[in-house]
Amino acid sequence: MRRAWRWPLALLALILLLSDGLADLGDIMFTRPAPTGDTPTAVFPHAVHRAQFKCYVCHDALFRMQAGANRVSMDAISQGKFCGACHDGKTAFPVAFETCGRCHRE
Amino acid sequence: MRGFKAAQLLTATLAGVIAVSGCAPATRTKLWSLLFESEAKEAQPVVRPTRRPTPTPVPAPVPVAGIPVPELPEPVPHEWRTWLRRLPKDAAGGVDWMRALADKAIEPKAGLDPATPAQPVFPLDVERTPKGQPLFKATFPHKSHTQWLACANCHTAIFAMKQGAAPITMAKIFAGEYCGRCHGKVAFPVVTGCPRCHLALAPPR
Repeated sequence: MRRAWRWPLALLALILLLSDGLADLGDIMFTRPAPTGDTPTAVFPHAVHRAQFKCYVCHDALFRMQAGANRVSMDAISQGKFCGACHDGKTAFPVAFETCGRCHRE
Repeated sequence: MRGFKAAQLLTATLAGVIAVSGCAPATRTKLWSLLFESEAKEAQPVVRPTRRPTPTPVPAPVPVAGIPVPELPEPVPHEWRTWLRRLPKDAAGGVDWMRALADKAIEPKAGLDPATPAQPVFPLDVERTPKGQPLFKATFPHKSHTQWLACANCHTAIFAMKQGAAPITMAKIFAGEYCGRCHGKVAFPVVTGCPRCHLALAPPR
């Protein structure tokens, strides 16, 4: 192998190594239309949820299967809609000050 | 030579002291008493503290007024990325969800209530063959899909329930229509999953 390729390949290998496990297939980023302060974007990990529930538990009663079709907001969640249907502190971890970072993490 | 003898004597003395101090207290006292009269008194029994003292009960943490302390039931470990990596992998390196389901590595519930019965699995294979290309015959297994999805998730918004009604092409699937609504987004990717639908393309075992 030519020497010139050594460092770019090493860098690529490092990036691949570090990027392992940073994103899974099905992660949904809830990017907001306008930047809102310092709060990071919420990420929905499909993989964690489908390991515990079948698709039809949420689709299509809670979430429509189309990007942008669900107007998810923290107000709606605290009213028990969308994520709030389960994340109430009984079925799953509550939406609370201590748990912000479990969704808002990107 | 004298120096060597002195070194030998010193070593022997040291070894003796170490050996004697390693003895039980009673024996040690007797041995010391041979050399020193003042040491002839009875050794006090040494009470050593036990290594593991009995744990004192720790009082439960008092929650601060106003801020609820959430108790987090964890069906999946908090370090779920590590947990996900242990699931069976497909050829492309992603999670092989069908094998995870078959191996009972995961047992997804059919409802928020764990006692909810799963909907029945529908064992119908739908086959589509492109004109003049029997090698690329695609097989759609209802069996694996109904283990996850309800009928209404696909029918009739994505697929009409009629043979040949949907003009499915690979280009449309790559563009995110039909199968591409899930495959490549949450289900196995289209680019690396050819033989999972085009069964004839599977490598020989």
